Amino acid sequence: MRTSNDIVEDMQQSGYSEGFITEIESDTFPPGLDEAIIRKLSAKKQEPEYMLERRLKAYQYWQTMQEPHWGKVEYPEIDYQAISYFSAPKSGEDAPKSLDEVDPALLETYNKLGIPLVEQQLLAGVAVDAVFDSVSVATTFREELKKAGVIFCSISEAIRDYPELVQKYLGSVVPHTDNFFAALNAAVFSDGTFVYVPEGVRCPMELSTYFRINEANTGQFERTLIIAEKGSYVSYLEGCTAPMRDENQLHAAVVELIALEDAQIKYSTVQNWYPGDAEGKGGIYNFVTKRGICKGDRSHISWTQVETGSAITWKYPSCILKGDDSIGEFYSVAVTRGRQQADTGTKMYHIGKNTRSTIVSKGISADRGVNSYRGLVRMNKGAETGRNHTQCDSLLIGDQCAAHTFPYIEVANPTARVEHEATTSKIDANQLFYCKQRGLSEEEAVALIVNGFCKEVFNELPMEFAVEARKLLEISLEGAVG
Amino acid sequence: MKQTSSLLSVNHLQASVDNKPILKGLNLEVKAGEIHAIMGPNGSGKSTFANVLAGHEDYTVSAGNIHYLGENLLDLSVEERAHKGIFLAFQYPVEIPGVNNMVFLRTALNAMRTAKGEDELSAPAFMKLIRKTLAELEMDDRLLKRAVNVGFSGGEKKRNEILQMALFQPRLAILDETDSGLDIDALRQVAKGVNKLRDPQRSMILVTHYQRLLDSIEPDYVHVMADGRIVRTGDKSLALELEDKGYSWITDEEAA
Amino acid sequence: MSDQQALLAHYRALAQRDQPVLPLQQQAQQYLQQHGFPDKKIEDWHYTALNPLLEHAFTPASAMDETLELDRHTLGDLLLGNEESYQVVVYNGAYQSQLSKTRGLPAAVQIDSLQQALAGQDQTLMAHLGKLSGEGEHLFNALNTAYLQDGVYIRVPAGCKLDKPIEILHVSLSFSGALMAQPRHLVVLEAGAEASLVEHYASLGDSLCFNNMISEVFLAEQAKLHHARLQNESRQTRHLASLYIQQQQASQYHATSIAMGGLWSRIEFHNSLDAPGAEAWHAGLYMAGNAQLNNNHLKVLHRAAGCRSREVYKGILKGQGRAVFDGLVKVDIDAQQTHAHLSNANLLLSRDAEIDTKPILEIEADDVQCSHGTTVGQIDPELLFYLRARGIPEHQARQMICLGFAGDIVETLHWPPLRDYVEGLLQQRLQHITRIG
Repeated sequence: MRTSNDIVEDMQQSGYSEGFITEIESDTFPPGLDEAIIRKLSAKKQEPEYMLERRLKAYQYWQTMQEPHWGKVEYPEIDYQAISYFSAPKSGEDAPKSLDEVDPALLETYNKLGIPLVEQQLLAGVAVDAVFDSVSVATTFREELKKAGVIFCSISEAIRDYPELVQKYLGSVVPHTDNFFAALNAAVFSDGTFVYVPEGVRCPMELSTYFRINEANTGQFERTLIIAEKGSYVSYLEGCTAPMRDENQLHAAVVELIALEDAQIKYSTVQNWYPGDAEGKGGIYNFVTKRGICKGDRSHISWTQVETGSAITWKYPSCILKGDDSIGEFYSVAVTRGRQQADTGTKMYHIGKNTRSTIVSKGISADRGVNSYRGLVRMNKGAETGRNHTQCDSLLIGDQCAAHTFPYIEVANPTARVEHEATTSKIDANQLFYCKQRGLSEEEAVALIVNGFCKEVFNELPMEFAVEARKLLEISLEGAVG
Repeated sequence: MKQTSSLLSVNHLQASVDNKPILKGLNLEVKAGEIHAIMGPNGSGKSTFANVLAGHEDYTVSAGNIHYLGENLLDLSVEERAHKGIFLAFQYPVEIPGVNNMVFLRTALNAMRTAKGEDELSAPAFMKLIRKTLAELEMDDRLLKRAVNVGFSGGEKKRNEILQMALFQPRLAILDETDSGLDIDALRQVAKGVNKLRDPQRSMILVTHYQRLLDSIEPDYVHVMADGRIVRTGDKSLALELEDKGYSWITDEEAA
Repeated sequence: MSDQQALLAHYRALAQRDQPVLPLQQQAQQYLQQHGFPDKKIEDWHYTALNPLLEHAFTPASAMDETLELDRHTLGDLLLGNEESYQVVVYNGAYQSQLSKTRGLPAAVQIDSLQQALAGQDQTLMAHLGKLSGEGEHLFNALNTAYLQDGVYIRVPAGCKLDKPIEILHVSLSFSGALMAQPRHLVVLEAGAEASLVEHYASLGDSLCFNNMISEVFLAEQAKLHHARLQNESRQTRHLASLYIQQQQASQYHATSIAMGGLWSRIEFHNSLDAPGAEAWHAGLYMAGNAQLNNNHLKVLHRAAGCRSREVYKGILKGQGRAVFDGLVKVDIDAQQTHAHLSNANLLLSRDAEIDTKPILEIEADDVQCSHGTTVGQIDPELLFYLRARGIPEHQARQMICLGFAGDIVETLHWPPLRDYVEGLLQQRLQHITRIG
């Protein structure tokens, strides 16, 4: 048994608490992508014919596309043929019936990550659909959810067991034609989560998934689909860590949310994948497409994200506000230091009448980090009395970092109202002095001030997550000042 | 009490905002020269009533009627009501960026004169009038040079309302919580202004939450509003009793 | 050959009509041969629909053999200062010395036709021309440079403080079809010099014109320039102006841009604060209605420490008017202690009006105070209620609110004749604002 001292030692050695590699035999495809690989992938996952057809169509479309480079990020060219498109832990082949059957090394990994898989889950009331590499290996609480009528399973299972729902909604919010990475994902997605909340049901617990990238050169292509029927409510938490590796790892997930009449979906993310070393070597490329549609009247989607990890983050969780009186929200904290680059923000498309959106974005740049907010607010002609308020603040720590703000505002309805505010400044010297005079160290003072800066966003997170996020932020900014 | 014909007559007035009923059958008679105080807890509908009288379009009158100077008031637009002598001193006077206060006062005054078939006032004549009015109210001309209410303190905004009232000489002035947010000195100055404007031909409705304004402006009647209706009417002693016992004294009695 | 290619061939041929004199003209010709029209894929042109520019093959006045003797009478009231300004008239892009009045100008101050100054190999001119505009930010810039002929050259020597504004009236008129005027201005203020420049763009009739102009402005140490610009051309005019401003230590640039004319307009300010302590103020008011498209581009680059800039742009959109505000404040890594504040507010007065706005901050220094704010909305109904409750008729109340909204921009016009003129124009244009149905 490892003691807690060993774990502490691990952290000290790696300089990154989640940066270790689990030694498990993996069933991995050779690197490369062509039609044969996609057929093999689909066959391995025992998918129905319709899914293979979708994958091939997406793949063909992807081949006609160019990788986008409009973001304010820089990275070496990605060789898509050097990536392996499938990897599953061997012990996952004949899925475990209970936790006892799970590979002990795997459980050990989760323990190291601090994922409360057994008792803690019960206490926290959290169901965990843990994805290790690409295949779900442990799912709990499904019975309890089943009683409420909530479907919470891997997308692979949903493809087999709920083909009508999948065919109706998969790709309906993010079609494979949407962008380069969405097309790639549609062709090769490995696994992910499926949630269906039936009419009028308030999901009895927060749903959460921990993702983990393992296996060198393994692309991770998660696919998440959440459907909230009329008058239902669901809160979904997503958190990620990754082990330390030298090669850059590509992550191109797609998340689709569908909220029908009076439904509410709350989607929270804490992302702390490996950011690379001080020179930026080895971090994750996080190119994600997340989009939700408020399809029904009075529906409500909110995105909350705390992004501290990855070498490059490129994501714009967005809302299509189609239903009248629907609401879209985006709350974000993004931290970049070392050589990290983040280009993140949101798009709010106001289509229905009296739709409202709120954007709160807090960017923190330290060392040589580059942080860009990129957002679009569009009020269509029919968006009568639509409202948007955007607040976008950047905090600079150190003289080598950068913060950019790229808001796009398009208004085609005169009764709509849009307000956008943004500020950029360094930590206020007077605040620092005040804290230090009261006996706080520089680091403590910075942590305190930064926490205050991010408070509006943290307030939107479920409580356990908020605590974790605060801690994460402190760790992320250790040594940034001075 | 003077026996004169009714200036304002409100009958069974019901009004709502965003489909939410606020006024639920309000009755009120105001005769020339009378001062009526309307008191009541927050949310009882006092400000709604003031805005309905002035013609705010967010408020929908669903039943009842209002007669003013023998006319159906609800048929008149906001500005027509102003032309006919209805003046609302706003609880929260809005800031109008870029519009000079002096230009605004002159434009408004001339709009009223034109509506009454009078000639517009020339710039020098207007200056003379405003100097005189300021002197009477013991105000200085600082506020005239700035944009309407922009950057004014709470007291300055309320004083600007009283200045307008003095300038426009209305028949019916509705003072919506004019005392709120004022310190003792500002309150005294506002009350002084209002008292100067007391006139046998001018009626006033004072909407207020507290009794303290009524120490300096003595009303003929005090009405208590609760849940969109006037539930009690008396003289100024009613206000003192309210101060003593609180609104629950009346609202509880109503509920009982 | 597609229409666009034919048009491109037309402009390329035009540019090659004359043998280039200056190296920068040769470079511009090369640029023209190698590049096409800017399109939506280029970030700076994302919202600029080009169609009205591509509907006709515009031709320079000199190539059209079009001559009309202008007299001061024809200009009517378009010249705003009588004795209160030095006056220059530019007609279809050409300097009109017989109509210009520069009497009383201090001897060392130059206000000249650019063509003449070029012919005379003026040293200051040669040292500055094309230094900011480069070989071409886009095809239309290159076209201006390649075909460079005339414009206004202004030099104010060190320490000289001009007593009166320099008023430049640009008029255009064409009888024989799609005419292109390509004035090119160069303004050099030497150390400590102070001047006020007022540019007024107007039309003598509603003829089909494309004004494609470039201005370069150099402000040396401690120099101070007030620069007002009124674009009020006729319905059929297309107006593309690229202004390049370079500022040295502790210089001050105050710009006010009023844009309300033409079918299509795009005004670009490229302002670079190159030395410590420089300050730039940009105020702008744009108004579009009646299917007008009005583009406002502002790039303020902080490249040295301790500079300040303030950008305030406001827009009023009526009818089927569309406008674009594309503002960028960029703070370089060396530009510590920068203060920059960018704001953009818009009033939409009709169902068919549209605004696209993009206020961008790019910050690479840490010790800065930067902010931006944007609003889009209609006339605040509470303001309207207040004014109506004071007896002011609804249409007049709307006009007052709109004029008030524009007020702080108009106030930055520090030459009273221009301010009064603009106020008059605004009152006229904001007379019949109706309720949004």
